[in-house]
Amino acid sequence: MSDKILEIKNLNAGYETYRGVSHVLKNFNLEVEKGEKIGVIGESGCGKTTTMQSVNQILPSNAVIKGGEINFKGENVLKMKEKELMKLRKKGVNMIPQDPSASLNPLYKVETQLRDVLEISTEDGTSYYNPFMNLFKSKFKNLKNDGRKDKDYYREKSLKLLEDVKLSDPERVLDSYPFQLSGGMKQRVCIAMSLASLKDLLIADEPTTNLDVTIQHQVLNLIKNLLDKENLSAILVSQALGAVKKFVDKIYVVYGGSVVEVGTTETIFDDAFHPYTQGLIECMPKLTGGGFSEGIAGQTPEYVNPPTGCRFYPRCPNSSNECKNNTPSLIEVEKNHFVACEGA
Amino acid sequence: MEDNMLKVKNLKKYFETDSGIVKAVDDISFKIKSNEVFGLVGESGSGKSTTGKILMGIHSPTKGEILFKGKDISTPTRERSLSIKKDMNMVFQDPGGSLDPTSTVFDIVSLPLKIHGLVKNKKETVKRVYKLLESVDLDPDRFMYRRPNDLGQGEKQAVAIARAIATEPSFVVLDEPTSALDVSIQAKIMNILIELQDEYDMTYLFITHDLGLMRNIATRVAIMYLGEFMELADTHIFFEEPLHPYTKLLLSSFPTTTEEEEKLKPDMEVKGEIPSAINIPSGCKFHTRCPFSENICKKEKPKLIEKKNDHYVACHIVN
Repeated sequence: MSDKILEIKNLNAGYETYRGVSHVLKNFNLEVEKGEKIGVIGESGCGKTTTMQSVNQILPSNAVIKGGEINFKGENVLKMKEKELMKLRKKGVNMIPQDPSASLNPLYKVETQLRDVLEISTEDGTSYYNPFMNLFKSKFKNLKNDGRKDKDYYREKSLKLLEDVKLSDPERVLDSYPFQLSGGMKQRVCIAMSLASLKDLLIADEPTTNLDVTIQHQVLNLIKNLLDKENLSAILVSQALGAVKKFVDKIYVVYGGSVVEVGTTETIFDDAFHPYTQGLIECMPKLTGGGFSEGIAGQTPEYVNPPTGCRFYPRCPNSSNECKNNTPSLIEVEKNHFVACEGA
Repeated sequence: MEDNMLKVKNLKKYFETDSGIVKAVDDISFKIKSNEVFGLVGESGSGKSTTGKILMGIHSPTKGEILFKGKDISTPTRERSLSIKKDMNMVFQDPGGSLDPTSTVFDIVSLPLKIHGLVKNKKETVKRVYKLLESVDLDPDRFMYRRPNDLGQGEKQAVAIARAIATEPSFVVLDEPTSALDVSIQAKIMNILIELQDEYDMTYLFITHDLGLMRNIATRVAIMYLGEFMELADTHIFFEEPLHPYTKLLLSSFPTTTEEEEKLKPDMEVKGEIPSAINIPSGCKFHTRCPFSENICKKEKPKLIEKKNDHYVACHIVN
């Protein structure tokens, strides 16, 4: 199919640790069509970030992919050579990283880092930044512009981007090193970087964790508008269910490295079937009051020796013996509503 | 016995920085009643954490009076008596950063017991720590001699709570205790906090930016903006009949999951960001973002006025 942007099929991946190999992803499936916004929800330690990092192959060095396919526009990412992968990262997939302080280089000013992104991803290669341009300009006034852009061009573009993400003092931010900025500011710099050039797929890995609700609201609206204009696809990984609800069309609920429920946003919020999804939604404190739910008992599984069968059964309120032995696969219970549970 | 656990009068805290004076807390007054959960909400940079830290004595106030059970505690912490320190405690936002990575859970929780001389010997200490860990829902046999690195985020925060309640304080400052946690764990920790408050008769100052949390735990809520109170009311009034435009702005940007919640949200366009605390706008500090702002808002600072019974608002337009 041509309009499928991303297709992850039976992906199995894990990490080599000193205690043995951890089997994080287990038959992970995900599809993104053109123009579709997907939400991926689940607790920390459920393999959300591992999946997203495997799409453009930026996993840590101890990661092992044991099987499966990741097709980006019909091409298998797992079989790509390094050169093709670089092209994919530059032109195909955009990523807003989870930890902004770890993804900005502490040794360079924000201006330099934004300029790098702008020149690598937006231009076609002919008009890269020329550090001597300013020097030339002052020496030879009549020098013809050969298509290369100078510092001011990029600075102006960067300023515009930072204003878009509601940074109140973009000039100062550009002239700062990352350590001089707060967590929220750094996060917005990262968002600005990814908005510098919109690509076919945007992966936003918890993009708004450090932001205030007012800013979160504005930034998500901005991203959504930009994507809708160009009919581009996005994956939003988040724990803020309220934000996910507003942003996406379809939700994947992930637990223990596999997808446990898939459905449109309304289905997931109104008739979730899987006990895990129900638990997650109940956990959200409500503006209408009513106290707190019990939470979900227990913890996310340990991946070196994961539970056999359904990985959720140790925490599941309705578990039976079958859950322990059989691994449930995704079954379509209604149209476009898939659940992986023995009870389905 | 006075009904007010804590009385704060004209509290100010200014920080001097290279680029100017930061007015983190600018003239706030409030009272916290015994056994209530007083909530402080606001965006980051509004001075809510600073307020909590001043009460705990981590910062000393630039000006103002703090009376805790009738005693003045606006002096630096070093001059506070041990009995006051025993009676107030704090849980920090980052559970990883507030626990010593080289100590075991037992060391961490037993330290305040030893400092305040609440235990006589090792056997008694173990017994007390055992009970404290049980009260925060940690299995003592499994966790007592682990170190923070072996614990999950939720467990670390539970240990921090156990440490805070070890001396049985009557007043606890909770500075965004769940913002680093998963929602599933957040619910668990909140339930523990509510249970403990009942059990030990504690008063909480609960600081958070999450209005959903606030709705479910606080009895009274104050909203802070650039070091000042904008609105102060009982929780249900605060959420059902918000008066101040800033409260409305925050409520309308809150991401909700159900339709009933959607109805509670005022219809308002969300724009702008909290200005830098160095260049504070003149007059009403909120006028730069306020859709209803008029001339008077730019010139005069509104006072916090009791609009209805126990419902205070600082706004020219509303008053």
